Formats: sequence, structure tokens, C-alpha cells
Amino acid sequence: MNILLIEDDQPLADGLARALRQAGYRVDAAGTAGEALRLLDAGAYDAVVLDLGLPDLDGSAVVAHLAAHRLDTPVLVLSARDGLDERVRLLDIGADDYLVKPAALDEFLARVRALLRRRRTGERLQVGRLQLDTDGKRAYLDDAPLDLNGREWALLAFLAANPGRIVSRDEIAAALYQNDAGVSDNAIEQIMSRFRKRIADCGLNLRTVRGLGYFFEIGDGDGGD
Amino acid sequence: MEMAATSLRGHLLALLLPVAVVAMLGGILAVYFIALRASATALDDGLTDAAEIYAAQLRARPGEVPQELSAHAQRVLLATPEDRIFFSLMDVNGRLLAGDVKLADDLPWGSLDKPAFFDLNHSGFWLRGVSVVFDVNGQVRHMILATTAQKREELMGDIMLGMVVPQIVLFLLSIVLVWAGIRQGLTPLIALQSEIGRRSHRDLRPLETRSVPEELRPIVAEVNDLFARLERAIEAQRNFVADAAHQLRTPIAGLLAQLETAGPVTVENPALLLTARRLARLVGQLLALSRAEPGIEPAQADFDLAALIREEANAWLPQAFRRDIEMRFELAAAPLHGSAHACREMLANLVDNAIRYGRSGGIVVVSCACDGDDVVVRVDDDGPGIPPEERQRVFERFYRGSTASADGCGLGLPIVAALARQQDAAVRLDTAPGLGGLRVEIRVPRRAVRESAA
Repeated sequence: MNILLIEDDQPLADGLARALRQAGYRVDAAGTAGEALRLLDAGAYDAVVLDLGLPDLDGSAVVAHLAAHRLDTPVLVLSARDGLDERVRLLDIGADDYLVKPAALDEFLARVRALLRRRRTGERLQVGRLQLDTDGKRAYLDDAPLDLNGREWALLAFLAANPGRIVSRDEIAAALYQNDAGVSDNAIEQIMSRFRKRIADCGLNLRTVRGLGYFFEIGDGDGGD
Repeated sequence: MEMAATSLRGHLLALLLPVAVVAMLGGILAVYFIALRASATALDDGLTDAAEIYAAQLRARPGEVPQELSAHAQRVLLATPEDRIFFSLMDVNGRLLAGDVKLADDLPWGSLDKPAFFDLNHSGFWLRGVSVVFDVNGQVRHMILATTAQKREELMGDIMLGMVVPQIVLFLLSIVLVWAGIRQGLTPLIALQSEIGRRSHRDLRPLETRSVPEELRPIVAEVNDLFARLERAIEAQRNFVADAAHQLRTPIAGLLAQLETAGPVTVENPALLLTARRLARLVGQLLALSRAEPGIEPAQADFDLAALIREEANAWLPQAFRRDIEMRFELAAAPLHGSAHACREMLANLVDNAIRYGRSGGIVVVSCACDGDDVVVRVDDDGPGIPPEERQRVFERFYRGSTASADGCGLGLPIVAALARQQDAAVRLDTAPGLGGLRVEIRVPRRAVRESAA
């Protein structure tokens, strides 16, 4: 996994690069937008971590450059600007995620993981200790196939696509049953409770959030840390 | 603060009243003397005329001495029926020839051309009289004619009434007019007062000058100027805090990234990372607080608070899970018009507090519902709560309650309070029923913001 880190503040760039390398990624660092654009043209990156306040150009120029060259490299913007307008502007021109400084390193790494996961279609998707083969509709725990029935697979795929987000019972019902045959809350609860037992020890957390639904968390499974 | 010292009305009246009273009294006095003179002259002329008529009577018929004044003479005297007339005629030796007893001995002698008048008190009556000496066919006759002043007093009374009453009426009228005039004149001041009084502390728009009288315009201009300076000062202050916090973000992010990846150093010294994280949080909260300051008008929109909470819960849950806290939600539809950003920020701080200061392994309940014209949001926990005597102080900046154990910086609730003020919302601390910890309740008016913006 190659990551391009664009950040002009040296101590921060060093720290982030070290964290990413410790997590098992290969990191190239650029201190200016110009340097970043040269590196982007020269090599292939799986993700870009981008600071906005660069000495030569605004970081959004890099996003614009990627969009102009039809490069689908996902971009995580890391900025000291926390205004909603700025966030919306960056996401609109093509950034994939936006994180305000100073962020906890855990969160930063989790966002990078999510960014990379989004990119890996077709391949096996790493979700906690599970690998998901979306084409074959199968899941593996440490390379051993997991015995899941169709509904369980559908549930796992749905949750894996929505990590770190509350999913309501209605959403789950819609994902599991194509026709909207009124599924009772009780039935969903039973399904979830059984599913929770199935994925125990997979580095995943499926929590009940009373009043809202369920919250699916992926633990730190795929990086090196 | 003493009203008498600063009352314009009182001051003007105090200045005006003595002058008006003196003028009025002077006027009355002048009228009195004029009336006195006029009535006295009239009476004296009557006396003289009556004496002349009598003298002419004597001269016409030397043999007779009329014992009474003729009707004609009495008419000339202008006497009323109540008036008493004293009349006596004496020869040169003072022997009484006709009329009443002698009124007095030492009266001066005048002539018909130059009559001598006198005032005299006789058996309880104030009399005005004339003493004349004339010649009747070679014999000297001394005539004294006096009358009570009834008529004169009546005359005086009439004159006084005719002139003094209008004076007094005029005086009273002028006082009323002055009072009303001052009142009228002060109306713009009162309007100005209520205009300033109505304003909230964050409303520093210039005051309206068009409807203000010319005399007040310099004051209003100065006040507006002060408002503008104040606004600039607040703005500069706010910008400074925001800029400073903003500039601190990148170096702190660097510090955090360095420390978190430093390995053994931070493992051996966990306080390093903890302190850096606190610093990061403090800077974030300072920035949030500077944005919640008065003067900032966040964008207003219609939104459902329940939907907002549902969305924000995604960000809260991981933090809650790290402390093994269960979050529960009791959300009813809560549409309102206001700043979604302010509500998001308020809730983030409350939930953060509840997770931070709540019991590890505990419960945090977030609920919202409509209640009349308000939307009520509550964040309850089962932590140590805040003792009632501290509930006021926890809204002070940097105050940290006795039950706050963790790494807070005492800005969470002040931020909430500042944002609540911005939204005209009310914040209340209580003991969470059932859970026993802290309940923070915010009442946001559903439409109040829209009204105040209009």
C-alpha cells in the first residue's frame, strides 16, 4: 500500500509518516503541492493524505489535479480549518474524507484504512480478522472459510459496508429482505443476536444502541499496529 | 442614581417656578394698588361732588339748613344701601348746625377746590371722608362728609376678581404647559431608552438617528460610535483567540503524532501523551468558545433535532465504547428553526462531558422531544453528578467541579452556555432521575430565533 503524505509542517509530517509506516504502509512525503503533483504523476498511490495550507498552493489544487486527470486515488484531507463550508467544498471537489487537526492517531489510521477499503473492490476485503470475498459471497477467518448462510452473508456484507455508522432496524430489514414484508423488530433482534455469536472473535464489534439500532465497529485488524 | 439630581423635568420646574410665582405675586400686587387707587379716586370724587351739591343747596336757600343729604348727593356718593353716611355741618366755632355728631376734632380743613380727605375708624367702621370749609353768604361753614368703604371694597373686589383670577389661571396653565412640554420634549429620550433597553448584549447595530431630535443627535452619534468601537474590539478579541487556537492546531497535531509514534518514551511516560491530548482538546474548546461568543450569528435553518442526534451519534459511540459506556437514545421528532451547528456543538460537549465524567461501564441517555413552544434535549448519566451548590459555578470558564476527575479543562459547559445564549435557549442542571447522575437539560425555542432575527 503506497500512501502519499502531503504536509508542510515537518514534525507533523514525520509523526504521521512514522505512524503510517508502523501500520505497514509505504509512505512518500511531500512538503509542497508542486512536489506532490510531481510524485503523483510519477508513481501510483493507493491513497493521499493532504494538508490544505501548503506554502505554494492550496491543498485543494491537488484534489483538483487528481479529478482533472481522472485519478481515483482516494484523498483524506487533514486540515486545521474546521468550518463546515470548507469541509463541504473539499468533499464536493472530490476529496473522500476530511479530518480536522489535531486528530487522534487512532482515528487518523482508521480513516486511512476505510479509505483503502473503499478502493479495494474485486479483491478480498479485510474487515477485522475477516476477509470478505464479495464476488464469491464468502468470508474467511484467517484464511479458513466461515460457514455463513445467505442471510448471514448479506448481513455481514451490509455491515461491512457501513462500519462506524448506526444502522437502524429498518435499514437492516431492507438489506436482508428485498420485498418489504413487514419484519418484526423482534425478528431482527433475534437475527442480530445470533449473528453476534457467529462473528465473536473476529475482531469485530456489533453493539446494540438502544433507541437507534446497531453500531458495527471494525477493530484494528488489518494494519501492523 | 438619585433621581432628583438628574431629573431634567424637576430641574426646569425648579428654575421656572420661582420666577413664575414672583411674577404672579408682583402682578397681583400691582393690580391691587391700581385697583385701590382707582376705587379711592372714584370715592373721593363722589365725596367732593356730594359736598359741592350740599354747599350749593345751602347757598341757594340761605335760611334753611338741610339735615340730610339730598337724594342726588347720595347718588353721587355711589353709596350702596348698606353703606353708612356720616355728615355734619358746623359753623366757624365748631358748633353743630346739621347732621350727626362730630366725627373728630382735629380734621384738616380743605376747600371745595382743594378738599382734605381722611381715613378714620369710627365706632367700628373704617370711614373715608372729606373735610371742606366753604363760604355761605359770608358765613364760614365747615362740612365733614364720610362714608363707609363698602362700595369701595366692592369695587376693589370686582377689579381684583377681574384681574387676579385670570392671572392665577394663566399661572397654573403655564405650569401645566411647561410640564407637558417637557414631557413631550423628553419623549424621544424615553423612546431611545426603551430602544437601548430592548437590545440584547450582542446587538451592537447603530441606533436609528432619523427620528431623534436634533439636540439628541450628538449623544446618539457618540453612542453609535461607541457601539462600533466595542464591536471592533470584540471582533478583534474574538479573532485573536480564534487565530491563536487555529495556529496552535498544526504544531499540536505534530506533537501528538510524534508522541504517539515515539514508542518506548511514551510507553514509559504515559503522562506525555495524556498532556498533549489535553492540550489538543483545550485548543479545540477555546476555538469553539470563541465561536460561541456574542456577535456571531450562525446560519439559521429548519431542521429536526432528532435527526441531528441520530447523525452525530456515530461520532459519539466509539468514544463511549472506549469507556465501556452504553449510550441509549429516546428520540421523538423535534423540528425547530435555529442553528444546527450550535445544537451539534452543544450536544457534542454535553455527550463528551457525560462520557468523560460519567462512570466507566455506565449509561448515558440522550433524549429529545417537543414540549410546547420548545424543543427539550436531555443528556443524563449515572456518574457522580454535580452537587447543587456547584451547579452555577460549572458554567464559569475553566472552573472544574469537585466531582470532575478526568482530564477536562472546564470549558465544556461554558461553551454550551454561550451557544445556548446565542440560541435563546435555557440550560438547566439537575440530578438524572433513575440514573442518579447528572442531567443537563436544554430548552431551545422552536421559533424564537426566527422572530428575533426579523
